[in-house]
Amino acid sequence: VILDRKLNSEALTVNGNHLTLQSQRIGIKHRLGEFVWIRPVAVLVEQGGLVRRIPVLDVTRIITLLLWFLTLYFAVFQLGTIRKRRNVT
Amino acid sequence: VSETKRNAFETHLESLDELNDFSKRLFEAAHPQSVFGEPIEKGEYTVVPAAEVVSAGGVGYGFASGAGGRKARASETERSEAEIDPDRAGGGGGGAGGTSRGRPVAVINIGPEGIWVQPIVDVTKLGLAALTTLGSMGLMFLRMKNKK
Repeated sequence: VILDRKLNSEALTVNGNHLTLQSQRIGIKHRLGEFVWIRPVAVLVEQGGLVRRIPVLDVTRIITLLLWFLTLYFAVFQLGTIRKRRNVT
Repeated sequence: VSETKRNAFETHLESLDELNDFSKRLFEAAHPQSVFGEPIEKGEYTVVPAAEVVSAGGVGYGFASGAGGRKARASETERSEAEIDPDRAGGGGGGAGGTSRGRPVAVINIGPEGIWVQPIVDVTKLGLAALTTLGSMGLMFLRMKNKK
């Protein structure tokens, strides 16, 4: 069972700002095990009746994923050159 | 059911309870409240730390029972089907493993200037990923050079 839920914290009042902290829970449940990943998603700021959403970006994850994709690209390119050489010979 | 078999079964049930307790304790860390920390105030500024939490775990167990052992007093030639004690055999085992870790992601700053989110960059993690990428790039260039 895969669970994906958005969770809102109780509203915080800091320096006159009403904040709601939003997180996301992704989980895989099985009879014999479980995997849970909870990450911060955004901060909802309420000012004068307006709600502003400030996203919480995970810069480390974004850059890591980009680097992994680059690595994968180079690996696929290398495999391609090896296959081409085999076909030529 | 013999006393031995009942005791063995109760031991298995206790072990399963322990495994369930372990599983519960492991996933207590993966609670929504553990993602955002308590606000820290310093003068006009307030800081709320934000982290991601990952928990994974699994349990496994098994039981087996056999027809039982032959009575010790019986000699090799005296052994027969009638002397097999069915209540004496049986066993089981289980195991569990898991991990739970957290990583700071960002800091939410609240000050007179407004509210802004400051990301936390894990330089070590990025450095390792960059090394892997550079390695694969290096291999690719070597292959291209050899081709020429």
